[in-house]
Parts: sequence; C-alpha cells; structure tokens
Amino acid sequence: MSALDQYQRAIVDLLFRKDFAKSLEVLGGGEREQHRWRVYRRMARSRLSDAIEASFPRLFQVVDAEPLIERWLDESPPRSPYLRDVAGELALWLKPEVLPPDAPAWTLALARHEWAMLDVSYAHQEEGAAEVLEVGELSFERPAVLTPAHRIVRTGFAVHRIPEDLEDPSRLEVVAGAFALCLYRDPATHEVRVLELSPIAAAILEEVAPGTSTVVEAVRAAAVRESFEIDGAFVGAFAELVTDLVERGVWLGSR
Amino acid sequence: MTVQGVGLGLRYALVDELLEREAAGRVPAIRWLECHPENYMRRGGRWPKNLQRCRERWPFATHGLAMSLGGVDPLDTRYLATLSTFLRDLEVPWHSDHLCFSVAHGAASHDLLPMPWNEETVAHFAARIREAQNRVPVPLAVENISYYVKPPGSTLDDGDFVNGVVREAGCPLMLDVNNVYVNARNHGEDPRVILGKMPLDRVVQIHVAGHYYEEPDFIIDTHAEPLVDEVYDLLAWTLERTGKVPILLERDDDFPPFDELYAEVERLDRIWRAAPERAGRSQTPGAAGR
Repeated sequence: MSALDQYQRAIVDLLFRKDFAKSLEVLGGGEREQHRWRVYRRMARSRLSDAIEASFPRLFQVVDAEPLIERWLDESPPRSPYLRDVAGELALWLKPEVLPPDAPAWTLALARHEWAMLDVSYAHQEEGAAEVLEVGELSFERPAVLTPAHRIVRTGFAVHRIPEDLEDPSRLEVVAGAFALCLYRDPATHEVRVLELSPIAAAILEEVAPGTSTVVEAVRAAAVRESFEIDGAFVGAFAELVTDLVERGVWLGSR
Repeated sequence: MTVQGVGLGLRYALVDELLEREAAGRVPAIRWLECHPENYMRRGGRWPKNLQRCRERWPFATHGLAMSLGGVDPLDTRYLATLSTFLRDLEVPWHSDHLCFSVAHGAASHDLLPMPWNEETVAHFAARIREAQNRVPVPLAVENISYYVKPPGSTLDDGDFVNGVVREAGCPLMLDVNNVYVNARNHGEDPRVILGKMPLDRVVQIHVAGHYYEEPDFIIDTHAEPLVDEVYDLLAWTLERTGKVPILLERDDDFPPFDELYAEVERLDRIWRAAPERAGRSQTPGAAGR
C-alpha cells in the first residue's frame, strides 16, 4: 500500500470507524492537529446525519436518530457520489436487529416507505428514457409505458397513513395488514402521492409495469395470480382504473 | 450569454425569489449562476424544472463536489459519463471541482478532504485531472480547498502546491479567495503571499463566501455567513492581478433576507467593475487541449 493509500485509509477510518484512535496515530501531529482531525470527523458525520434525518421525518419521531445513524456510519459508510442517496443506503442497511428493542413492529416498514417516497420524488426520466420519449397512444394490444416516477410497494402495515407531525408517537396505532400502494409523482406539482390499490389492481400494475408483454397478456397473468374472472364487470372496473392512472400521470400510454 | 461579472450559487431555497426578482428587473447585478451538478444529475421532478427555469434567464457554470480528483480509487466513469451529458445539456463554458479527495476505499465522505502537499501528490493530481479532462466535454478547472490540518507528508505550501498541480495538469484554476483567507488565518500565514504563489494567469473564475469562527484561532469554511471586509479586500487585490474574471458568491446555509444577499452581490459587482480588463485571454486560460 502506498503512502497516499495509507493516508486515505486512515482518513476513512477516522470518519467511519467507531474506534478511530489508530487513525489519529497514523495522522499524527500535536494536540492542535489531533483536535482538528476530530473536527473533520464531526463535520463529515453531522453532514450525513442531517441529510438522513431530513429524509425520514416520521421514522425519527418514533426511534432516536443518533444511535441508529452513528451505527450505520460505523458499519456501512455511504458509497454513492450523490448525497441524496444516503437515505436509500441507510434504508437498505436497516434490519430488525439494529432497531431498539422497544421499537414498534412497523418501524422497518415505515423506514422503507419513507425511502420509497423519496425514491419516487428523485426518479429520473432517463431510467426509462427511450420508452417515455417514444410513448404512443394507449393500446391494450401493446406493452404499456408507465412513468418512471412511480413504485408499486407492498407493506404489512398502514405506515402510509402516519401523519408527518406526530403529537404523541407512543400512542400511534398503525393497522397491520397486507397493503399495496402505488407511489407516484404528480406531474404538475411534483408532489409524491400515495394511492392504495386493491389486490387485483396491484397485481395488474405489477404485471404491466415491466412493459415486456402486452396489456392483455399482463392482465391475463394477473388474473391467474389473483384468481379473478375477466368478465364484463372486470372490464368496466379495469377501464376505470386505467382512466384514473392516466389522469394521475402514472399510465403514460403504449409503445 | 457569457459567464462574466458576478454570479450567485443556485440553491434550492433561493430559486423562487431569485426568479421573481429577475422577472421584475430587480437583480441586474446577478449576471450568471453556478450549480452543483450532483444535485440535478439522475434526478427528475422539481429540481431539474427549477434549473431549466433559471437556465432560460442566466448562463451557467458548474461546480462539482464528487469527482474525488485526489482519490486513490479509480475515477468513477459512470459518474463522469452522466456529468458529461449534464454539462453538454447545460452548455457551460467550463466545469470545476476540488483539489481534494472525497471517496477512498469505496467510502464516500461527502466532504472535501485535504491531501498531503508534496511532489508525489502534484503528479497524482495532474494525471487524474488529465484523465478526467478527457472524459468531460468542457475545460475542467480545479479549486484550491480550505484545510484545517496540514496532512502528514506535506513538503510544499498551499500556493506552491496549487501552482504545481495547475502547471503540470495544464488546467484552469478556480480560485477560492475565501479559502486562501481561511487557510492563512488558520495556519498563521499571509494570504497575499499565498495568492502571490498561485498561478493567477490561469484563473478562470473566483469564489468568495463567508466563514465561521469555531474558535478564536480556528475558522471553518461554512458558506453560511456574510463575507468579511478582509475577503472583499483580498478579492480586489486579486482582481488587480488577474483582471476581470467572473466572481461567484457562494451561500449554502442560514440564508439571510434576499436584500442582504443581493447587497453582497452589488458590493462584489462594484469591485469587479473597478478591476482592470483582462487583456488578450480567452475565457478559459490553461484549458489543456480544449
């Protein structure tokens, strides 16, 4: 390892190791220098903590932010060059064993929901650029094009109904159950909105979203999954669903 | 539209008021804007929309935070490819990033970390700048950073180090005058002596910002306070030597009422107008191969 490599390793450890005493030894200097290296650690970690706390407004009313973020920084430092990605990196790292023992059962679901909301708000057209730019008129005989700024999310708790300002988090009751959600970015206001989906609507959207089969084929696949009949009543309800999603800017057309 | 005169760093909190005032003709001294590409790359929704609205009114330069030019990890080619597309679309005359490292051993610090100042790192930077320059479509300028500790293994001073890198890489310099001031105060040096060693003939753009006293003898470069008189004076001193180069006011946090921020822009504009013309130079001096 070159001297430069060793130096940068020491800095990374200074910033991201719980026990960073050895890094300070490598970096050396007198009392003043050691103090200022610690300031680097404080500043880097507080910038990341601020970004994380701002990303999970509900989660950190339910669990204490500092110990969780500190542990994440020690165990799994950020890797993306984009600061906004740290929220997703933390969400991926979160697991039941890092949460406080008294954390509500829905804590993890809430964290994932808050990250999914952010992910939708950030979603870029480039992710589906060719399809989005070449979107044609809606046809059920062709694959659908949905906006890249949407996610179909399944969750075991109604965490999407938790308000942002919690007066007393300890008294919050979050319903358990199988929920399917469509999170999407309103094309006019850019706000992320949440649509609760029926199991059938969720299955249809999950089949349609990849755009690898025609809408008719996707609906048939959903019918097999959810055991429903494609009859006259279904066709009417399906037309309503598609119309609604078109109006919301989720279903863009066909390709 | 040319990047010249005084510009303002585009921050999310400023956009609406900035556009409103521009429409009313109330911010004539703001002649261009600078943005951090990382805030807009791979991103949809409100942010790129705001950028587009501003781009219709002002020319832009860009200032990156994530190239990690001093890093030992390979340059992030995916990031550079996305950056290139962004720079091309925004039609910027140059792009700048920092003489620091921010990523090492895969960990992204999201901070501007200092490098040892010696001949080895001069060569390391120069090679990486040339490599990055080959991957972006506009001249790549480098910025002198603020540092709070001189890293072990340093044998050069701030001015000699920056001069060495810029000369060897053949790149333009994005001169941060506030950083020179902060470093001089933190390390007991004369900022004019440091500036005198910098390659002032390669300056393509100047940054100024406010800073914060962490301790009586320790300043942190926060960009969250008003500029101090000493930095205005140092800027005027620098412009006498570089001639008129674009000046950018960086304000990243604790935003004051817009009138206060604009008063800083107007003061900078007066200093810029009093500077001598920059004779016989293109807008991007030292842009290697461009």
